[in-house]
Amino acid sequence: MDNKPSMIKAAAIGGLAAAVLGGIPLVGDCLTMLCCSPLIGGGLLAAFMYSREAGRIGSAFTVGTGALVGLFAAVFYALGSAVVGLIVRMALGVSVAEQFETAREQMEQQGNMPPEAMEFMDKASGFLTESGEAVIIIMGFGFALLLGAVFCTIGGLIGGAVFKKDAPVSDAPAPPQMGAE
Amino acid sequence: MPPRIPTHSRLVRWALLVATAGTALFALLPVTPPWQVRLLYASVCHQKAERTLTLLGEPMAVCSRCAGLYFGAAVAVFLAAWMPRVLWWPHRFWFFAALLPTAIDATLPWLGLPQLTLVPRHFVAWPAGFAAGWFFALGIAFLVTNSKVTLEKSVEVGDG
Repeated sequence: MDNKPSMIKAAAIGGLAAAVLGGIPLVGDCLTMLCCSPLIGGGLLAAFMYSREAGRIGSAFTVGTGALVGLFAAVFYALGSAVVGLIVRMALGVSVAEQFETAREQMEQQGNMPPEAMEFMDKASGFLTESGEAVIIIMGFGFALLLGAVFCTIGGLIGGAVFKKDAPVSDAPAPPQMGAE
Repeated sequence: MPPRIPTHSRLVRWALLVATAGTALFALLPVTPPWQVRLLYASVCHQKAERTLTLLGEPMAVCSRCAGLYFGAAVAVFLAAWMPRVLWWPHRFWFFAALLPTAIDATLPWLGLPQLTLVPRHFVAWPAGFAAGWFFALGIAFLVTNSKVTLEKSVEVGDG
């Protein structure tokens, strides 16, 4: 029988770690200094956790499995981001629209964005103010899922190549084949 | 002998070329991009003006460190695609060793030490990007070759 560890646990650890690190404002601000590291790191962590579990039960861990675990981690990342975002907003006492407005102001202060981009951000801010919280959360979940699907899968693929394990070769004789006589 | 992946197969070659195009596009898009692309990259980078390189008279859409990571990865995948016979599969130690310079650089402000300027910070990020790109290329090549092929068999094919 081909023993395989559960992907859910590894994906949950990787995805939720990425969501927490990327979602908490102070930590998130520091980690954005490292680019998309929480996302790629989440996929990598999921692949590492799975490879460790696979090694423990003597199962193989391939690159494809790593990518798949990374993809699953993206789902947990999106779910975790929605929950962490909600908790942070409740703790800070701000709405999504207000949070978005703060981000828009920061972009404006940096002076990197052309007027067209700021105009787009104004429209998006207006839309968010008019929309209900549920719509915003669903949109945020979709965006996080898309982002995670790309970066966590890349992280998982890289993790698959880094932590790859072949299944140990069994010394037991091969079972007789049906109809071999 | 370290394990290697053969690059003879046309499929592997094509897969690596597509990966090269993808990573090159991702690395080059932040250079004087349209505002839509600039907004898109805002989801993965802080884009602070004081930490961003200016190329062709315009600030890039990502900070100097992100640009270094992307360029490093693009170069690694490009080199992997042009390897004549086999792809070297390094020990995972090299992956983590390559992350060290960026990790140290990112830790400097936390320790209250003086930070690197834009250009050094950019180049310090290259090894991490290169390592990630190389293992990404290995992953792609391995997926395409056949995920069920064992490393030993790959070496046989590569040396044969």
